[in-house]
Amino acid sequence: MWNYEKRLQYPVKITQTNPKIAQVIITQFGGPDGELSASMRYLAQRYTMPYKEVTGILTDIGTEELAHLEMICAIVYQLTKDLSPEEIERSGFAPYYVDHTLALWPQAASGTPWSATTFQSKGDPITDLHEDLAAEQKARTTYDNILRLVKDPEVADPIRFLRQREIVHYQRFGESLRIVQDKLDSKNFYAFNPEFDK
Amino acid sequence: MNNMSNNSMMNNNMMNRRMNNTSSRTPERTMNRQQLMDHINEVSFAVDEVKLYLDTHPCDQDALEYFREMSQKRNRALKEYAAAYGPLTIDTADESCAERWNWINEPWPWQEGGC
Repeated sequence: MWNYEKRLQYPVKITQTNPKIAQVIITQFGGPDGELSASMRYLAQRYTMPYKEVTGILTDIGTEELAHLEMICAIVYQLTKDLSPEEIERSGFAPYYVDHTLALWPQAASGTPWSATTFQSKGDPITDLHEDLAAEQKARTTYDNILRLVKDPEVADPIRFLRQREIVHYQRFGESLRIVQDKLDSKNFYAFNPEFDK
Repeated sequence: MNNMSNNSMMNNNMMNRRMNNTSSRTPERTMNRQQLMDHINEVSFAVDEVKLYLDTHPCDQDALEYFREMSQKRNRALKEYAAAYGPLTIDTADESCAERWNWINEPWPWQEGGC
């Protein structure tokens, strides 16, 4: 069960539209290392996770990623609000506009639709946590790449917040991996899959 | 067993703190709308952050104390905001929705004037 809270996790207040940069930032909505994939990855992995600390972290980070998805959508929405047909043509926004007008749709910067193939839910806690650690670093790199292109401080500020959260999540997944390994055979972590073997 | 007694102790502490606080004047009352919203964002972020830390460090007493303090501030501020400007959560909607359904009246967070 989830409850909606009518505020963003960190405020987004962008006064200058910029459809060019919106087409780059939308990749953190529906791209391979975006927030939608992040949320679905952790929320899918948690059901078979046998350790309560890690089930908790997957649930709470998976939930926070939904709030990040909302921030990314707010950024894209404000960057493309009230565009004129001329601005759409000039900025290269026409291929997106023709399919979605100014609505939000999860796609990568390349235009590739969002896909569940961007993440794995493998059913082995060591494997899944390594995927989760890598996912946080890939998202951090994506935010670093975005920050090199963004000039507007009103856009850079919430993007920096999101980048910082990737680093905190990476830390918490590292602790989760240690918790899992502490519960397994230290001579062979792979002798037993606690999500399957009895 | 240990967990259970810890939990009930925590609940008692939280209840005592709530009761003590209802009599004192809350600082939120002197804030304007933007200041109250910023305050909600700050204490909510503190709750978000310490919640993740507690998931992997469930016995850290300092973190538990910090969680209690921030969670209490957050709940108080959300009630205050709902009463003055409209609800941000469904659980505080009854503070402001007696006459009409204000949940849909205030701007959504991605809109101008939203949070």
